[in-house]
Amino acid sequence: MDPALRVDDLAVGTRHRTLVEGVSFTVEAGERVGLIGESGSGKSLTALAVLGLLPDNLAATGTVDVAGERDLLARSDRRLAPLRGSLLSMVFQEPMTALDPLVRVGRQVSEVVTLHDRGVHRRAARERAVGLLAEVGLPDPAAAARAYPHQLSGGQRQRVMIAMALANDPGLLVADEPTTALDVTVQAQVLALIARLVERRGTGLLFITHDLAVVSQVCSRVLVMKDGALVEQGPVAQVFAKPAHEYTASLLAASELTARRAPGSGTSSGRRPGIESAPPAHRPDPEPPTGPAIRLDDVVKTYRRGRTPVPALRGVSLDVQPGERFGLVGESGSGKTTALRLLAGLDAPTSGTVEVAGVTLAGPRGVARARDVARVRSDLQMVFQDPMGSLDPRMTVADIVAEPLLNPANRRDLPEAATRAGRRELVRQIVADVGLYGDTLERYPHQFSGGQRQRISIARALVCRPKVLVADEPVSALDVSVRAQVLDLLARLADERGLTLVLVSHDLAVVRHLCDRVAVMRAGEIVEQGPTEQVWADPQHEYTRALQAATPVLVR
Amino acid sequence: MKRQVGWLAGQLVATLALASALVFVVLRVLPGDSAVVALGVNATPQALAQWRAQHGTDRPLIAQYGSWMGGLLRGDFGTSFVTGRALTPLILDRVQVTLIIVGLGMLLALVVAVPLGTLAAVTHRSAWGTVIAGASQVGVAIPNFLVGVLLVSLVAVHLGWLPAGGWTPPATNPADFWRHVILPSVALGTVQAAIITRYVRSAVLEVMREDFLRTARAAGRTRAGALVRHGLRNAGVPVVTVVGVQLAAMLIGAVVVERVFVVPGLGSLLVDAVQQRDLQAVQSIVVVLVALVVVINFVVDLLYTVLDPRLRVVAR
Amino acid sequence: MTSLGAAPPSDAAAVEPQRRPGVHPQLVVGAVLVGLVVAMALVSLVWTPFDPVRAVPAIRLQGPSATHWFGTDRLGRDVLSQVMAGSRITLYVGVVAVGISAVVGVPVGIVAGMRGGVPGAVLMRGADVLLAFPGLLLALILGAAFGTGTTTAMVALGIGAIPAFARVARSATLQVMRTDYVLAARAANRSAWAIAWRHVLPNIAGIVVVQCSVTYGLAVLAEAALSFLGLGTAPPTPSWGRMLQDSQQFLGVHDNLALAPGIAIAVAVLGFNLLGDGLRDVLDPRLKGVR
Repeated sequence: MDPALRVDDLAVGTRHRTLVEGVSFTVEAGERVGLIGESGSGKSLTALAVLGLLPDNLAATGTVDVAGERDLLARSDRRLAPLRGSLLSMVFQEPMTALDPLVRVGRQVSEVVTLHDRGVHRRAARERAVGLLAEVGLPDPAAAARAYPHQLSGGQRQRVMIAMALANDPGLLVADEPTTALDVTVQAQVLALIARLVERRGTGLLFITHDLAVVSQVCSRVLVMKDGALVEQGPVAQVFAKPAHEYTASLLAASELTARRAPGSGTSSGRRPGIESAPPAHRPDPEPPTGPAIRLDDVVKTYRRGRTPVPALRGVSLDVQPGERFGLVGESGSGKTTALRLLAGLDAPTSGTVEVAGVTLAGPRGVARARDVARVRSDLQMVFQDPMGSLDPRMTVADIVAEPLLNPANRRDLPEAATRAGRRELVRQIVADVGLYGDTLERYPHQFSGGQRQRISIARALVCRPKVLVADEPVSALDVSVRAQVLDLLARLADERGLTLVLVSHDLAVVRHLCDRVAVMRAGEIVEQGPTEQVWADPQHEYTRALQAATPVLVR
Repeated sequence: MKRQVGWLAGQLVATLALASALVFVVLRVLPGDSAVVALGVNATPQALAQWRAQHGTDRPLIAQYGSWMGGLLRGDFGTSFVTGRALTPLILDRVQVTLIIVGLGMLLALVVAVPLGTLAAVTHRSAWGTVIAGASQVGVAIPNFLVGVLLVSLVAVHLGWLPAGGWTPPATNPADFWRHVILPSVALGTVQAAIITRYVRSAVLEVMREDFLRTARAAGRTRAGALVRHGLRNAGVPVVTVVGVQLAAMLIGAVVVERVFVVPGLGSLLVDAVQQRDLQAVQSIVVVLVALVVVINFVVDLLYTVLDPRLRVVAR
Repeated sequence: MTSLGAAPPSDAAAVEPQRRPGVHPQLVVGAVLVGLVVAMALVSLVWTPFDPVRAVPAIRLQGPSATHWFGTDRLGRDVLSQVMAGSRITLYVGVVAVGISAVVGVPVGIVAGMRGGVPGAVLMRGADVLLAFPGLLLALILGAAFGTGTTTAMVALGIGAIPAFARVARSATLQVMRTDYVLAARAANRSAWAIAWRHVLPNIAGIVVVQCSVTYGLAVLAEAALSFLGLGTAPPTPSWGRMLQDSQQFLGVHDNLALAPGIAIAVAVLGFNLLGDGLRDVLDPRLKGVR
């Protein structure tokens, strides 16, 4: 029997630049193969080349055979199109934009059926579409078929995409990061669905992801890509247990986030060797612990969309002690971002009390006093998720990092920041301390990689010596190999500066790596909180258990 | 859906009311005494008083506004300050002429622009795309009255195929009507075609980058098939907006083209009124034009909700 | 870690069409055309081949010749000299109109974009009502109320373009306000003024400049239309629109009278449009970082 996919000496590039070169592999019929690599490794281009969907300015050479059909690359679009959707098909990463917003979902599925079999009656195709939607586990398939894409959630849309891809029982399914944009629990369901459906149909699967843990759960064989070339391939168990290539080994090492070491034990890889870091910038005398650094007491926050109230927090209470590293875990819609906005004084609670560094943010009808908000903000700084979007593209790094110092309220303890030269010196120190060279100061954000930008972001947050640092998904936009370094940097800085750290994340593993205590949120409520190891080892609430079970674990 | 139509219609009425008040203030309140505007600063007090009495401008402003608005609601546009004739039949007659050449011009523009713009987008990497993009860029820069002037010179004077100007109502003599209507419509439509071609091109280019086109291709459509089935309708949403904006612009822009071809449209009536400082006529004509503009915007908003399900309010 | 230095090539960067570094053809052509018109206006201040307003009946309606490159008009005035002198009024009207609309429209848009709520809604509804009055119509209304002329035209075209500026500035401001760097600035307790000045204004400046260029082109067109209707610049000041109007009675016989000012208008408008398009490509922050 022919393999589901045979790729031989594939190269992809523009006229001037080669992006993928010398890639050869096969996917046997019914086999599940993972293709892993970081951003820029060329894994998505490889997939697009197989389907003949490369952007106009890129061209592919080499040989691609799919289930007995020879040399797909030599075919014109007109001759290749009939194979797509019937012989091989693809599921993409971004479910929000992958469906035509103007066409009902059922219609989009039934179209895939009629497109390849003109003889099918429209009614029959429509019924088949509803059947497929049922098969991918949409709760009310008939209603879903009548819905427009914007009326479905991300997970539901991805299920629709899978229904479309498998409508004609293809021999090969290419899935490009199909669960990356989804919540953890939804990801687990969608992964299980894909695995079940390809198994039932005997479909070969080429599964592209950056997440090694996902590969270890879904695939039997794995291909590792780096800089446009395959560096290693083999059975998952073998490659993950004994990686032959050092890049695979480093990826594996970076992917395994260990549990948090005992407080104060320092970190290993946070500091770049050879950099003179500034002297530890301890506060002169840490204030005696008078009370919690952060206290939320029965906080309720309700947004309004038009006339309908949208509850975001329904009575949240928590304490964070000074110097503690606290994790807030939850999926989208859990209210974790709202909690964070309240802490930073960016929003005021509808009811309840928010107390940060001894300042209470509350008032009648949820309007906090401006002076209190100002004091809180000078003691609490933030690091954001998107390391590009959080840096003004038109400012130099020096200006970006210095910005918090321009507000007199933020430099009460830093008299030297009153002058331009003083500010410059503070900026220079902190930038060196986060592990960036001095010549970065006059450059612009777009000249840095994601990890470096996140360091700049951290430098800005720490330049005015806050007591509390709040990090909102600080590593979820970063590659695996950079993720661990940024987390360790946060840990080191928190230790050296006696910071209270609040980490907001969707990823239980990230929180476990960094935090002493954790609170698990769902639908605006805290369902469980306690010491991280205790919650991890012995989760009490069923949702925590579900979350933990859904978190992909690297099996070696 | 119904509630949305009601909301849009309410906005339409509110905008019209505000706009008419604005027109009244600018034309009748800010310039001071309408009699002085009409007769000049050297007019004798007796002449001014007589003029005021004759045109009812000696009444309080609010009363004048009230009676004007009352008239508008009954379909009465008042009487001209200069000729003393009733404006209603004149305006109704003229507005038809303007609507005909604007409508035909837009039709022409769309027939040319939609295929051309799509072609320019699809071939944007090749010579064809560049040529169309460049030509439309030049076309946008040419004023419609220059096109009109050149058409007169070439088609009417040199070739003698069509009359250089004038007008025959369609009911009187259909063949003659068509001979007179072609050049003004072409003059209006040519520039619009260039403008809309550019918007169609960029809308299609935008849509060609969308993920869902890639999805359609992954499901078995060819590049062209995916664009026709899923791309064009999505590209249509922004184009509808532009067509609305441009229709409004054409209604006003027709003023100049009507002048070139001596077409008795609303625009030339307005220019005459402006030159004669006939404030009552200007006021009523402007309200008609603004009403047309506002109605066009209303229709565009409605079309939007028809085209794009995301903009529909979910029925409860 | 990823080495310090250039970011690794990401898939996204490879998929997006890469902009070639270096000069941008639209920008260059646009700048050249606009430069041509500006140069013509400047030169005409000190020198034109003939006095643009002096009528010499003996040489009426001559075709193009070595002496009179574009011929002479019905009063025997030199057409080239009139075209040169006419560029002054065109540029002048454009500057004032764009100035009015930008100075009023941009702050309105920024305030509406930053504040939202009732004040923002009121400002934008006001702009919407004004949107029902295109510049040309406004010029006719103001002409009827206060008399026609250059000043009326400039003011009317300026006011007529305010809504467009307000909308562009507002939507750009909204985009900037949604970014994390503004959130970061707010979290760092920066005032609304500081955010407007340091983050919003620099980041929407490019789009505003583009709008200025586009509006300038529209103003040139509208001024020509008004003069063509006899409602713009009054004689004897030379103006392209009126030259076109004067040429009408000689159509088919002396087409040079129509072509000379017509081409001048088209060149000026094309110049500003191309300049706007080119600037959009160069200044659009969304394209930053892709280079």
